[in-house]
Amino acid sequence: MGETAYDFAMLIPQFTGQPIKYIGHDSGDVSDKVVTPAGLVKVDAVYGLDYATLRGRPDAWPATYQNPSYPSIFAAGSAFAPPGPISEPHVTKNGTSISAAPPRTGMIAGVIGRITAFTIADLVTSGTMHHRERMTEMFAACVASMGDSLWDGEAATIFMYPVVPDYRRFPNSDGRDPMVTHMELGTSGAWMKRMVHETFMHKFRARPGWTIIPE
Amino acid sequence: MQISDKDRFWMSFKPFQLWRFIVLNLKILKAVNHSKRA
Repeated sequence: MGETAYDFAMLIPQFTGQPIKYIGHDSGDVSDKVVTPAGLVKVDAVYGLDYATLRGRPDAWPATYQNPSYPSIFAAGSAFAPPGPISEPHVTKNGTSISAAPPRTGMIAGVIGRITAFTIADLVTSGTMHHRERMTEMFAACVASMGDSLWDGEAATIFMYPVVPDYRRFPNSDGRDPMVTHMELGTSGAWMKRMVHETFMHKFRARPGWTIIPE
Repeated sequence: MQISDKDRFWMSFKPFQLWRFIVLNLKILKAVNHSKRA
């Protein structure tokens, strides 16, 4: 346990799924095969590892986002259950558990959505899956806006590779590629944010060239 | 992280920010091409 200095801190309640009861063909409860106790959908991850083991197992993170018990179930973005936290979990003096869950919204949700869509198309057309990408091999960019004016607005532009630290490939830089992982502040971030909004809507409407726009 | 007056100048200096905008876009395109997008 330790202390970290900060100017502002944002703590978010634990992500949980909807409290749905999953019933199998034989009318039995199959919830433990479909979701974790938190209600998030189980996929092709290795669950049950402690943090120390998970840290050295980048292959424990899901690649196809397919449920192992029910192959027609896929979960993307914040719907799938990650195998664990991405940094060492802590417990406060009051007993509250604080652990850093991997980000699964924004660009990451888009990338995983693309993989699962391609995978489902693969299964329909050829019966085999050809697309896979773990969060330990995924690139993501994030633009945190601090004023949307194109003249005097500012934003923090953050690049991260890989999203989930891979300590095998990058043992000396906290699991991330120092040539790519980067953050900077400035008006260029506000321009990036506007461009992301415009291109996202272009992609969303499937207008000409939408397939080449990154998620 | 403390933002100095020098940092603040570069953060709003438009020619430099235009350069950074171009570089950031190229970095995204390069990184996306390196991912398993195919």
